[in-house]
Amino acid sequence: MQRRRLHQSDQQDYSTTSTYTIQAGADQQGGPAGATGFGGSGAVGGSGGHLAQPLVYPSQPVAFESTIQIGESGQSLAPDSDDKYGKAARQWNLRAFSGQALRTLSAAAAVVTGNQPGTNNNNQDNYNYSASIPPSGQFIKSEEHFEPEPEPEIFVMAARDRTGEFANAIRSLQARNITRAVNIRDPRKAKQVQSYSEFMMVARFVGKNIASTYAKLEKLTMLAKKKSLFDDRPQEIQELTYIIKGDLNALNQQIARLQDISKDQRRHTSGKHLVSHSSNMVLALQSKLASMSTDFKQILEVRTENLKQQKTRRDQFSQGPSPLAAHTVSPSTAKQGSLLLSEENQAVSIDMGGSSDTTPLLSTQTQMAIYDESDNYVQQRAETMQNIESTIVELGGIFQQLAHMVKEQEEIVERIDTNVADAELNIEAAHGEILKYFQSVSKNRWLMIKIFGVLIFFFLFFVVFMS
Amino acid sequence: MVKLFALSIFHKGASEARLLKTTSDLQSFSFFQRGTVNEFMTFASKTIVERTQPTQRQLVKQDAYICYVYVRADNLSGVLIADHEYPQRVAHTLLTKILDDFAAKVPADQWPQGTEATIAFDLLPAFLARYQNPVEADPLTKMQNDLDETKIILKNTIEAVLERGEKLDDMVNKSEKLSLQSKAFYKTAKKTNSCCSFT
Repeated sequence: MQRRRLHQSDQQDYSTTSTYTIQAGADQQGGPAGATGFGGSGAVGGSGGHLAQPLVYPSQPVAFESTIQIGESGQSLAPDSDDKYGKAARQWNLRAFSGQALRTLSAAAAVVTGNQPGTNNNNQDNYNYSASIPPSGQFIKSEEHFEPEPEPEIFVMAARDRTGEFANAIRSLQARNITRAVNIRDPRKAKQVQSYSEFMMVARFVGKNIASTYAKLEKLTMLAKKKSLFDDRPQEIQELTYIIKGDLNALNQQIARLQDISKDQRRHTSGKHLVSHSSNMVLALQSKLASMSTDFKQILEVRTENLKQQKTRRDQFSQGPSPLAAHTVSPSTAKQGSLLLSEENQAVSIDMGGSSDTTPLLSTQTQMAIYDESDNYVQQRAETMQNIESTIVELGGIFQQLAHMVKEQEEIVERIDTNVADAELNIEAAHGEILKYFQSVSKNRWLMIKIFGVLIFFFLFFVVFMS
Repeated sequence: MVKLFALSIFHKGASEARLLKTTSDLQSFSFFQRGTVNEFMTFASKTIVERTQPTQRQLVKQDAYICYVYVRADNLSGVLIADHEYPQRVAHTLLTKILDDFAAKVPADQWPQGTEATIAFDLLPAFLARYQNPVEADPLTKMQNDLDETKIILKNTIEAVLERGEKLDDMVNKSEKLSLQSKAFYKTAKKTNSCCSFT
C-alpha cells in the first residue's frame, strides 16, 4: 500500500531509501528548503546523490499540470486507512491553494515519521526536466515503476524523523501555490514573494483572531454590565475572562512573531513598498490589540465595581449574619444531637456510637451553609417570581396568536357566507324559472283546448247550416 | 409524596431553646414508633435551633427527611420537618408565616418562660394540615400551577382553532361548488323556458 503513494517513477532503487517527497511536483519550488532538508538526511543510499541535485526548475506550468493530473488520477487509488499522507497530498493537489491542505499535510507529517512514503524528489525533477512527457504519462509510468517493488523493503527504515524537512517543504509549497501565477524564474523574487505571502498569511490569521477575541470581549462586557443581584453568573464571567486573557497573550506572541517576520523580510527584500506595507500592517494590528487590552481592563474594573455594589446590597437585605464563630454547645448534647440527627427516623434505635467527631465538622458546615441558605431562600423566591412573570408573558403571546388566527379564519367564514348566498340566489331564480315553465305549460293547454273547442264549434255550426 | 411531619416553635434562649408549641403528623409511622419518633423530632429540632444563629434559615438533610429551621432576629424560631420532596421555598414561607402569626398572637414576654401548656396558640395543627399540600397552601405555587394549566388549555385551544381553520377551508370549497352548480341549474332552467311553444 505504500507503493501506491509513490507517484514518481523510481528510476533508481529508492525502496531502500527512506526519502519522502511531497507528491507530484510539489517540491519544485520547495526545492531549496527541501533539498537542504533532504540533503541533510541524505545519507540514505543512492538517493543522496539525486537529492544533491540543485533542483532547478525549468517549467513550472508542467509541474502544476502534472500535480493536478496526478491528483485526479490519484483518486483511482483506494485510500488506505492509514494512507493519510497520500490522501493529504491528493487533497493538497486538488485544492492547491487552500490552507486546509497545509493543515492536512502537517497532520500527515506526524504519520510520515512512522511511514515510509518513499517518494522522492528527484524523479519528479527528472520528469520536469523532460517536460515533453505528458503528465498522465508520468503518472502511469510511476505507477508501473512501482508495481514490481517489493513491499517489505519499504518498511526497512521506519524510524527516521523527517518532520522538519517536511514542514519546510510544506511551507515552501504553500508559498509556491500562491505565487503560481507569477512566472518565477528568478529564485530571489520567488523567495521574496514567498516570504511576503507567508507574512500575509500570518497577518490574516492574527486579524481573524483579533476579531474573534473582540466578539468575546463584547460578550463579557454584556455579562459584566448586568446589575441584577441574583442573575449573576460568576463562573461564566470567570471562564470568559480567562479565555480572553489567554487569547490576548497568544495574540501578543503572534504579533511579535509577525514583527520578526517583517524584520526578516526587510533584510531579504529590497522593495520599499513591501517593507513599509508590512510595517504598517504590524503597527495596525498592534494598535488594535492595544485598544482591546485597554477595553478588557476597563471591563474588569467595571466588574469589580459591580461585585462590590452587589456585596453591599446583599448585606443590606440580609441582615448580615454574625461572624461565624463556633457555637458553644455542651459537647455531650452536641454529640447526641448529631447521632440522633443521623438516625432520627431510621430504626428508632439509640445508637450511642462514635460519630462524635462529626460534630465540629457539622457545625462549621452548617454555619458555612447559613449565609447561602437565607440567600438561597430569597433567590428561590425571586426565581419563582421570574418564572411566573415569564409564564404570564408567554400566555399573553399565546392569546394574541389565538386572536390572530381567529381573525384570519373570519375572512374565510365570510367567503363561505358569500358563496352560500350566491347559491341560494341562483336556486331561487332557477326555481322561479321552472315554475314559470310549468305555468306556461299548464296555461298553454287550456288555451289549446279553448281554441280547438271554438274551431270544432264552428265546424259543427257550418256542417249543421250546410246540411 | 410531599409530606410534613412536624412543626414546632421554639424560643431560642441564651443557653438553650425552649419549646413553645409543637404539632406533628405521624400517620405514616406505625403506632408503636410514634412516641419515640416524636421525642426524636423534638430533640432534633431543639438542637438545631440551638445551633443556628439568629436571622438565619437553615436546612439539615437526613436520609429521607429535611429539617427546615428559621431563627428570627428576636430569637423566635420555627422548625419544620418534611420529606425530601417538599419544596424549599414553601417550607420557609410557612415558617415565616407561622412565626409572624405567633408573634402577633402571643405577647413577647411569654416567650422566654412559656411552655406548651401556658401558651395559647392553636393554629399549628391547622397550618400543618393545610400545608400538607403545598400547591393549595402556598399562593406562589398555586399561581404557578394555575398558569401551567392555563398554558396547556391554551395550547389545546390553538390546536382546536387550527382544526377549525381546516374545516372552514373545506366548507369554502364545498360552498363554492354548490354555488357554481346552482348557477348551472338556473341556466338550464332558463333555457328550458325559452323554447316555450307547447307541442
